[in-house]
Amino acid sequence: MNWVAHIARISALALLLALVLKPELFKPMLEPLTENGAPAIYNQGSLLDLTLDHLALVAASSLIATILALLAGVLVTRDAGAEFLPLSRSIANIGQTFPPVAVLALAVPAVGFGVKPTMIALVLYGLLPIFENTVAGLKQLPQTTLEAADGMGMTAWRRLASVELPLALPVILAGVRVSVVINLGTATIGSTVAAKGLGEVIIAGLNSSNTAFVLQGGVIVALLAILVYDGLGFVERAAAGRTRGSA
Amino acid sequence: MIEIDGVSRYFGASPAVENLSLFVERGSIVTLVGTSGSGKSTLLRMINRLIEPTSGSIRIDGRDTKTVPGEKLRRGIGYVIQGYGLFPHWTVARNIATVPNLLGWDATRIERRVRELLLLFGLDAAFDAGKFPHELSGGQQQRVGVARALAAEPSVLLMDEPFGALDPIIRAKAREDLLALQRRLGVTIVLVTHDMEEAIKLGDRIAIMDRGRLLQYATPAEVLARPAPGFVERLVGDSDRPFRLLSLTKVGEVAEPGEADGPSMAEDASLRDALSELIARGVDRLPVVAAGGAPRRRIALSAILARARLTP
Repeated sequence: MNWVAHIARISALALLLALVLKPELFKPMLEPLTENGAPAIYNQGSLLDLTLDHLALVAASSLIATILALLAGVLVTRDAGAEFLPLSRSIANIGQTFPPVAVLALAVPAVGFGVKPTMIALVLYGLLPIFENTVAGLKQLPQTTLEAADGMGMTAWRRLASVELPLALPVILAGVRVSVVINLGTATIGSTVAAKGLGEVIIAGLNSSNTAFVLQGGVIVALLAILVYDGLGFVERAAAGRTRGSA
Repeated sequence: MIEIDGVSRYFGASPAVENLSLFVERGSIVTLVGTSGSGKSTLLRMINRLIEPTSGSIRIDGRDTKTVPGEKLRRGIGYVIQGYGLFPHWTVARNIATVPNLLGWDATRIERRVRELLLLFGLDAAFDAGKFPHELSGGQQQRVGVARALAAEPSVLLMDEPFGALDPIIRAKAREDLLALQRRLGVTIVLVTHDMEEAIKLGDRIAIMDRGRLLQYATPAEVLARPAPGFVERLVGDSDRPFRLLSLTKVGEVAEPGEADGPSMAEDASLRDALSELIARGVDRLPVVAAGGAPRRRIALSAILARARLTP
């Protein structure tokens, strides 16, 4: 274990916990950023609650995106589903290129304000990295391994579950990691349509020209992203360790 | 016993295998030889139905392979491929247990069988069983590949260039091991190779294929002595042919009564070995030792040369 990385990791976690649990500690640092005696520390709700709401939103949308992308990725890498590859790829690409703000604007009239439109935007936005990595992970498997699986008498399901997915897992997890981190940041826009999350802090700051609020919200989201990215990296390496020598 | 009866396989309009019939006796080794694109691998894969024949039928031990679902059929047939295709995320033990697991054997039976196979293949049951394939040498991987194929005690073993990824020294040893194993287990083997040397060394009979057709199906001695005109003749007709012929005969079959000086040859050495020994020592004859203290005999250069003549 690398010393520097370890220290950085612990510092980031400590900073995050302090910001969320004891925000008043940072009052002296943030006060110079405020004007006309505005509050330096976010005072319109609990930062802890907002952080947990934010994480729950991202976790739920990433889970749905992972399931959808995984299903689609598996389907298009089967012989029977190969012709759907270009179509699925287009859908995933559109999901990525279509701005989440525009998705929100379109979704609100259909499903109303709150968590729902935000979930739709985040799921669409998170699909592409997972889908592409699932397809890449499944397509790069050594031909001899697959032929051996068939030759031993595995059924298609068995081959998928016990050989293909475990071997593709590190690559798929890399896609999930990218997707989750993108959505941790993107989820802040959910607050524009009244979904609970750290976006509230940033938007409150923007509305009242309070840079201290914006900074608080932004730093918390950034630290979450860094720590989650790092944590999922562990999972990914652990999975890769089990399949060493496969490539 | 494998009966291949009028089997064809078309990919689009072009035949990979065309109306081919072949009978493989129980407990024998048949080698399928040909250049790439000759259809030999396609033929092999039709036996376990990884490729479905377009027409014709294949029977294993009297039963038409079409009457069993493909997966079930393949669980009963050993299969070894070039590069082995070991599952990289599974230990050696779990790799070997693949087919028993698919067949739903209970854990103790699987463990016993894996142990038995590790021992049979010269692997250390305690030390190697928990290793992952990438931690093994090429030769060990090859042996694990064969052990995996034999785990559920199939009566038929299909091998597609099983020694192709080995370096020459290990390859020679691996062939010897396979022969010894086959004699011991009595399993029927069909082995695909592009190497005529390997086909001669391993095959009880050799099937030579070109462009999807069977050109000659005979014992190694017959193929060497009377190759079918055309492709087969060219395939075996190089300058090594007399030596290959000699490698098929054992010293004991040609030895004559009498004495000779020098180090003695074993009865089961090949005439090729004897010739090389005679040349190296610059002598005309060497003594031959028999296993059970039989009367003294000797092997003579002239007798060997007579055997190497292609037109008797």
